[in-house]
Amino acid sequence: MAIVVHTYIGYLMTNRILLNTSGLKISKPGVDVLTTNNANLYFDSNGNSYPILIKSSVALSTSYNTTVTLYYGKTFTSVPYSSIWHSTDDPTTATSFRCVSSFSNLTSYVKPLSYDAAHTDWTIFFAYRYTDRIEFISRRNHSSGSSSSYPLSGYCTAVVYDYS
Amino acid sequence: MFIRYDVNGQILERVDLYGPDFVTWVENNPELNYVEMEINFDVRNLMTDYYVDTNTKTLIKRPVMTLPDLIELKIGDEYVIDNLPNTCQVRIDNQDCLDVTDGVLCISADIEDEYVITITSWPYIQSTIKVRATS
Repeated sequence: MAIVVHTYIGYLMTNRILLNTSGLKISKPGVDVLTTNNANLYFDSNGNSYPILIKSSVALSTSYNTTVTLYYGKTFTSVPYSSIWHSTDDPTTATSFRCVSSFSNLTSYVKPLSYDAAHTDWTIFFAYRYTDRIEFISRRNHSSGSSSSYPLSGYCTAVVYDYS
Repeated sequence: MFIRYDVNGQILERVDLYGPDFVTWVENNPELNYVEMEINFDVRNLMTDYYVDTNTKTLIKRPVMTLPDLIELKIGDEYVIDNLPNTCQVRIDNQDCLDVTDGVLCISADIEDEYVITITSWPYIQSTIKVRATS
């Protein structure tokens, strides 16, 4: 037994809500819940409820105040939610990630820290979220004050969610 | 998977999950240098150990400089490395920087200490040599 709730867009009827023995699914406006993939679901009680637009990793620049950009591939009307992780090692094989900012759309900076024993410094980079991209700007903050030389390398992985 | 690279072929970004709209967007923005490719499971440390040949748009493993890990040096002596890439940057203890243009680096020390020499030359993987100077 299944319950399907329809919505109307103009003269088109779309199946938006599906409740059956498998659980509950809610699709985005205009998307048929009976046929869509997870990316076009607002909610899925089976746990696949995050509409992931893109998962991408960038190599941070080792040059001070240098920007590396991660593009969404589309432009939103407002800054989309995203989650960002940092790893010291290449994300292909990294086993340790630091959560920088989880499920946020803040455009202000975030300051993940990683300690580099060789230089007794802390890595700081800024992740500016925009409607079409995230910009990662490499900085470094010395333990005894700010410094403008030799930012540490590393990688950032971002998952961008599309609720539009 | 999509890979984005800069004018030198250095990998800036790897896109693991995306939808059909992203593919269209990439096709409409060729100046951003995205290339779609299947990555062999043997490829490890993609962004660190590989680069993109900008002509063929293929993935190439970055070469490694054949250099000693440790050089033991007597003060007043000179150690010559003559197999560097023709053009490279050399840093000593992450401070001084000099450009080598002939592939030859002469090392000597006047103070007993340990030094770390870092050699950078794209597309080679950065190499580090420890120099131990003793009297």
